Amino acid sequence: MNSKRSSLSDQSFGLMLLSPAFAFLLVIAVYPIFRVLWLSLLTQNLGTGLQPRFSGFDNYVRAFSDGHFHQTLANTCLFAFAAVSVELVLGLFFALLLRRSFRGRTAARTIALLPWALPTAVLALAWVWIFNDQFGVLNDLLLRLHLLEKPVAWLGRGDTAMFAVIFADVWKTTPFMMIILLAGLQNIDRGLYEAGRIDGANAWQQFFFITLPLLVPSIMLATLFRFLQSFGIFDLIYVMTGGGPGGATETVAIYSYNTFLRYLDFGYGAALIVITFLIMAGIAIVIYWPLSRARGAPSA
Amino acid sequence: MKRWLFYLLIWIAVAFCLAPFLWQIITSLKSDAAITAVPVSYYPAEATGRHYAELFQRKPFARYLWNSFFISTVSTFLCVGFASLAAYAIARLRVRGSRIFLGLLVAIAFFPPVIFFYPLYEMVRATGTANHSIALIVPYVTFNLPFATLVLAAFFRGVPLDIEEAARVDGFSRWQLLLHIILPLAAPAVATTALLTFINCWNEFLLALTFMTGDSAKTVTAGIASLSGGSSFQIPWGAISAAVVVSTLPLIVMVVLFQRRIVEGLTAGAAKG
Amino acid sequence: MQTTFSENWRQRRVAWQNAGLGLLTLLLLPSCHPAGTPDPAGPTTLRLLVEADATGGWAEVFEGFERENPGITVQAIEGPAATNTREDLYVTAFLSGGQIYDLVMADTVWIPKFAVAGWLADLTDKWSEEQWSRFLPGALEGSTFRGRIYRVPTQMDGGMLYYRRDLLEKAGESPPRSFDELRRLAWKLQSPSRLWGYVWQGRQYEGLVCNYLEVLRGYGGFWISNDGKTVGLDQPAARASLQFLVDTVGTISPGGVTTYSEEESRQLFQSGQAVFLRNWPYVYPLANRPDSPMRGKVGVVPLPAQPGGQSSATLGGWGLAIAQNSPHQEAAWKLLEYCARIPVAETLYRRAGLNPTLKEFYESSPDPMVRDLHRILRHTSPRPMVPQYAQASDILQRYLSSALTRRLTVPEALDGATRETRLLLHRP
Repeated sequence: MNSKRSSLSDQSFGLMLLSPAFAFLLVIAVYPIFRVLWLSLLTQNLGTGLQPRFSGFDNYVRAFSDGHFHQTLANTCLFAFAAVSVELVLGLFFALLLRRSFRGRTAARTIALLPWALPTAVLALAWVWIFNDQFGVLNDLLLRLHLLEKPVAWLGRGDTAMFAVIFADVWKTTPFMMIILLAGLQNIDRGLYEAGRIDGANAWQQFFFITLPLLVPSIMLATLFRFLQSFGIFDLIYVMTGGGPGGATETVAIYSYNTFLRYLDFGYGAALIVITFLIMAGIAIVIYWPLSRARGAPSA
Repeated sequence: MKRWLFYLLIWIAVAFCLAPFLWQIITSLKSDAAITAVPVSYYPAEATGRHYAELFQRKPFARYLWNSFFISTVSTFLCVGFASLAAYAIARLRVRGSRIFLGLLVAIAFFPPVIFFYPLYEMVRATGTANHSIALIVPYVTFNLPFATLVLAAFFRGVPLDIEEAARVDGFSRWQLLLHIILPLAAPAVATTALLTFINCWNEFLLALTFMTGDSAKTVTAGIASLSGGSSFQIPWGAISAAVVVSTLPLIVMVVLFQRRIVEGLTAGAAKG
Repeated sequence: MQTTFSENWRQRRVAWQNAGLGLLTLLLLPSCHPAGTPDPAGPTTLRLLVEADATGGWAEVFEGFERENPGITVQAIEGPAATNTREDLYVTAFLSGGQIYDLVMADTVWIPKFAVAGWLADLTDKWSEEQWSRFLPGALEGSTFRGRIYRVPTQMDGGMLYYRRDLLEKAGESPPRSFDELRRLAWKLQSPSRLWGYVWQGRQYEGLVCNYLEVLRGYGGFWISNDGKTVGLDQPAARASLQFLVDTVGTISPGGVTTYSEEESRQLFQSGQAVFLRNWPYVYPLANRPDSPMRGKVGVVPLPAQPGGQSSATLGGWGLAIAQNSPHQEAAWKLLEYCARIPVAETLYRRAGLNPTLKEFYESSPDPMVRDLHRILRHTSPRPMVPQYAQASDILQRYLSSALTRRLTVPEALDGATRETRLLLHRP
């Protein structure tokens, strides 16, 4: 530590740097969070004429025996884990490809970001038609290539519908993963690879012993945020399947949104949100805590 | 890797990413009858610019574009600016209170955005800022802070300490050090964060729809959502596709611009290394 | 149309409330567009949120009203095209207690919820019973909750059966009157010609409930009783009717029918690939457009019914309601009265393709298409008028879809739906 850098000035300088962001968080986030926590202890719905009535943990007890809520939670977990793992592999693959220099790299990188830039709700509408059994493009192509014998109603079965929404999500969000990993890759010192080559490491060894370990912070950040986003997935599925068929793709975000704003069951909706938050936090801690400890806590 | 294999993979990746967007372009150029024709036609027999013309005639679509651009730019600028400051404090300084800050940051990221929707609406009403760009800018900055801050903090940690020491020895003040040494070194990360933040703001839907109902205040996403067909059951595919293409063009320009920054940042870093 | 004074005042308030962001606010002022709040001294502005008016029909109506009532302007804010989203926007506005909308362009199924929440003005006593009876019974029923009327219906829809007149004539058959006949005819006519016999809307969404209700009523069953207390989904009629729909999938209807909403099914029919189609009236003019291969080949009849059941069309419909908290109750009512006139109905029908709700419009028209419509719209029935409708519908959709995609058997699905619906209706 440099002697000029006293801890006092560290403190005041640091607070100065934190304060603008802190102010925004306080203004926007604190009130809503406390409101939802409080609301989850009330019964306030059409039955009570939208008047709040304190009911303690009733809403939580109700959620405990709400089979539909459990179903949506299971759907959400399946969706989030499948989507994020595929995206990680694909995103890493794209990032490694686009990291190399070749003619047209800027164009390729720009195109690779396109899916992330397109508005989800509109794309979801287009996916419905792409997956249509009678005149969808996907069936048309697969039939022409003789990969299918007769058209498939992709959104008409629980498993294929889940596959379809995961596919659409992977398509949409792989670029997000890719660009973060790409930025991470660029921070890796090229000299390390030189050294590796001198030591006789082949391409795979370089990848596993140099690239991957140095990329762990970027991977953690990217997967964490993608996990949070996909756990809260809403508009893509809402438009593509409406949660169907038979509730097979309904996610917890759709259910809590409906409970809150369409069923006007505010207390219960708030409880669902709080429970979801706790589960997400739990999963994140289980997965990321060991990783972040192993790496000397790169993030929170 | 074999050269041909590499290019094959690149082409597959590009096709994978490009196909649905190309499909939007093709659809936007077809006539209404051709769009819904069975079997599917993969290219417009006769291209028409009608959907594009209608977009700007029927609705102030240029105004929507400007609103989106203005709101996204200001939000990105503020968000990445504040996030850089905070990230440096987290990465390099020992600040009491930073744990509270981090906790709040993570909490925001973990709560589903839906819960902020209604309280924010109350705030917007209470402050009379509906249809005013600030009603979107403040939440956009906030919601993108967690991601921006954590990404930047991770990169600031990667900047070698001895560079900072050297700069301090050279007489740089704290601010100079941050603005002239650290930020340029982290340029790829800053550019990446800014790009993703900009796209997030540009495509945000729920808040834009709720807070911006006036025709002169609407953003592009809200504008697209309100396109409607001849009857409430019909989907105006041509108009929607045209709108998507038009609203994506500015983003493509942004991506190209930011790409250059990312590459420059890379070479700058390599020269130091 | 607001004074610079009030605008100034608002801006200053913004600046004050965002004291920490004062500089930012200054920066933003050039792009500031405050929503017009009605100025008590100036002309009255009636605000409502509508679907984008692509045909200009409503604009014509509102202009006519403004000409007749100088001093009142109608500001129709074009909201999102998705019905659910517009509902959410109204809900948010009213929840916040703000006087944001004076009128509500309301879907039938919103009425009970909005009425229970106290957001809509009771219009029952504005007109005599005789005046209210100018509307078709279904349209009026869909505006009524617990005996009080909350909106003036302006347009209505009902499910109907489209059929290929050319194919039926060639086979010497007449349109089906029962579901058994529908199945027989569909099977017979689709077989040699590689068509689909019957297409309908089986995606998990509101339209599925509309489809199912028509079959259910055709079999003599019911979903939720009028008093909102009894659930009839565990009765034999409910099972038989759902079994009918389940059996169509993959036999007379394409397997993908469980993913269709209106447009997918219309396109299949309009491109000549189906014999029968259940859909709303909007298909009629489209199927007869000059560029449609089905031009002149399409007939319509009311949906079939089994012996003992009743042919029924699910009512879909919109109307104007007045926000309880609007300061412009009188001006708003003037607009509603204006919209219940024959010339307005004609404008909306001619220009926007919206089907009027006034009996007189249908009785006086010589147009055969209007007469066809009348036969169907006369017998529309609304979906259950219960405040918890949105959730009841979601439950039913989910279980119907489960049965249609064979995730559950018909009895399993209906028992599940019955259980959950009962729980919902009896929850405090």
